[in-house]
Amino acid sequence: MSSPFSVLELQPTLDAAAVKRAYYKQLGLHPPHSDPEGFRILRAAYEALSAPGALAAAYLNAPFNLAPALAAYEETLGAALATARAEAAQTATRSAAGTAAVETLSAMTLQQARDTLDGAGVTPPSQ
Amino acid sequence: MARDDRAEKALERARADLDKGLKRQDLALVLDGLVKLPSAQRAPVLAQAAQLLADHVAERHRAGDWAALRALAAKAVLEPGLTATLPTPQQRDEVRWSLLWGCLRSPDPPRAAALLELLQPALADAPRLQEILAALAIPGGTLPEALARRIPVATADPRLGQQVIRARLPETPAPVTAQAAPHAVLTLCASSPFHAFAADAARWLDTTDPALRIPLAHTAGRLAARELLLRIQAKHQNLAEPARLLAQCALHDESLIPDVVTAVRAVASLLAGGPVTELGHLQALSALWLALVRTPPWDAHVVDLLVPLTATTAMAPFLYAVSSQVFDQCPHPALWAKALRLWHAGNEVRSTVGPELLQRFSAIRGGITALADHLAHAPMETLRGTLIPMTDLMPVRQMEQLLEALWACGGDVVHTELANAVRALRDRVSTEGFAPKGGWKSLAQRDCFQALALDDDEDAPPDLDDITDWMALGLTRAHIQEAMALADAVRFGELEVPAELQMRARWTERLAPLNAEWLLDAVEDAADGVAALALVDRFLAGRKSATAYVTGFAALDQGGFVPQRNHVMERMLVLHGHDLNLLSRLLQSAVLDGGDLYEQRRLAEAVLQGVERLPAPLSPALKRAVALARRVLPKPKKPKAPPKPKKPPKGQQVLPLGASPPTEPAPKRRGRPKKKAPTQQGTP
Repeated sequence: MSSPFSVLELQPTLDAAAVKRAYYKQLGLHPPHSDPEGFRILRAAYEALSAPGALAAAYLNAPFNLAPALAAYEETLGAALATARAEAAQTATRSAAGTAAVETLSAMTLQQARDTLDGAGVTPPSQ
Repeated sequence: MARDDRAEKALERARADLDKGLKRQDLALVLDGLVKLPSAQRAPVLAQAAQLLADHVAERHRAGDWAALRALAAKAVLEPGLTATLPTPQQRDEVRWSLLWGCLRSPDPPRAAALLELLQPALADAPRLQEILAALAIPGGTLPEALARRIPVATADPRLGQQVIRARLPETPAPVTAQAAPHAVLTLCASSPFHAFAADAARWLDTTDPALRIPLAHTAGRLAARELLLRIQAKHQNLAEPARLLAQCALHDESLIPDVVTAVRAVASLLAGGPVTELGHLQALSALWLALVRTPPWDAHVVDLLVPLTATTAMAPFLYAVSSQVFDQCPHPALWAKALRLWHAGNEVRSTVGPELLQRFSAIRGGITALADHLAHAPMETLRGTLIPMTDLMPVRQMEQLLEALWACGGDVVHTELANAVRALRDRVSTEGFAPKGGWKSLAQRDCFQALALDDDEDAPPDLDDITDWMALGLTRAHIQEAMALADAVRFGELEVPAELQMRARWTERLAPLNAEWLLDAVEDAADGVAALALVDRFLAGRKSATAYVTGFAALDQGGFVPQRNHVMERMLVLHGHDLNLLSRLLQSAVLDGGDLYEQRRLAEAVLQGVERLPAPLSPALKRAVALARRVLPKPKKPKAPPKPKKPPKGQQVLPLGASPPTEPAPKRRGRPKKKAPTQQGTP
């Protein structure tokens, strides 16, 4: 059985006024005197949404399309997040080089560290 | 004195530990004992302890055990002599160097600074090393790229494997301006796994300036919503993390509510109308609902979504907990009543939330009075739909309190509705409060009795399935029959329960004028005719329908107050004798119900008298009433005919010419006996 929202050709909503508007719009397409079966289906869908608490329940049970919702988030956040990720990757690369240097230095004894960095044969790096 | 003893004992223990440690070469025992001794007593053993420390530190340094070095550094900073008493300056500096790395790699900035200070003389001729160590000793500091390049990193032969270097990324600082907030949140999200991002973002929201919270919450909330949808797409079970962050953000920024609603729909779609089976789904829904429930009008929708929810047996306790949390957050009586009504309407789906709601009754804001006030002004459907489940399930005392409160604040319509609710509660009290002499044979027998006594269809025999169930519970045929007999006795008033009688006494006076059933009970209990008449008068005040009079007559008849019944009828004939419709309906009712002959005849006379006065032609209904009245009234006796002149004797009879002589008279042919009109006599 199709969702009442799809019978009314309406996106799932909690707006009762929108449901009523959609019902009257569809009523023009399925008048009871010329399309009794269509009207019956339409009326059943409308009543399924009009009972107290039924709209929210139908909204809850209406099929949820994940793709458009995700696309909307990607549209607004995707580019900014990609830029931030690129920056974070650069920082991580730099940080990894620093970490490797720290690991090397910390494994040395004091004498080794002095010899490596400030020993007689060490030329000062170009700044 | 006692304190001195304790201190002396502690010192003795410390000395003993120290000696034992030195003997066993156990550095931990040595250091524990050493730091507890006064400075003067440490000196003799310092050199020995320092050598032990130096050996241990060198070993830990080679193993890269930074945490252990950090712990040793704490002791070394506490007792500087541990490093200062080492025999050579080189040995002394090497130990400090190792301890310094313990405090840099397993971050302990204050001790790192203290050890760096002690190392300064050794670094005086090593400015580059000094610069690097100074950069690392800053709290949260990392090695600048320029300085890192100075350290030659050995490249290992790849055939021996690759060592994965896990870089400790610099901590993203919390933004200080609203403009910087979105970028800071994005950077935080991009540079850490989501669980770390969620923790940091939540900490920012809690600790930053309130002016910054909205921009922070907006970006973090949307990122959380996106993460939630991504996890749903990937069929990830842990949905609670992003849901919680989104919910927290929505509390700071209401513009995120549509995102929360979308998230609720997305998570709810996983349930596919079935019961909750995954704890992750329930936790996510719980967090999102708690965000929505604080934001009218979404709170009502939360109730709509929560109440029909079902859970598997394993998940039911969690659903109870979630519903308790949600209803603690929205203790509005309107929502509570709505939830209860929805639950009752959908009870066939075995929702688990309804009974939980009843447990949260005391949590309603404003208590019973507020709920009663709300219900008294709610649509009748709401009132009725709420009272029915409550009457069935609420504790009796609380329910009666609510009914009393409703009586106090409600109008006539509410009072009329209350009559049914109190009646239902009375029935419940009479079954729940009843116990046979000698008690129930088992709990199953009590349940069986209660089910039978509360059965709406009094005449129908118990369902075969129910009987099978009871027998499966261990009830014997005799026990079931006993329960059935007791249920019938209670239902028909043969056995009375004291609690039920007390409740009846409390409510009868108020409800008898409003409700036929209460009137029947009240008149039956009336002390005398005057009291019974007063009750019926109050019931009939303002009512002039045939049904009301029929009820009034029946109540008086049932109580045995026939003169009062006749009095009420005579008064009715005086007041409403002109109302032929009323009279005809009363007559029909009296005949159909087998009313008193006096009642039937008085009504029939009134109908006929009224019809005689009616100039217009009779309606079909009135014609039927007239026919009925004529049937009820005794037929008037025909006046006796005047005596006929005596016939002359047979011999003297003169026959006309040509006439044949008279023969024997033929016997009268007996016709079919006329069907007697049924007469209803006697009292019901």
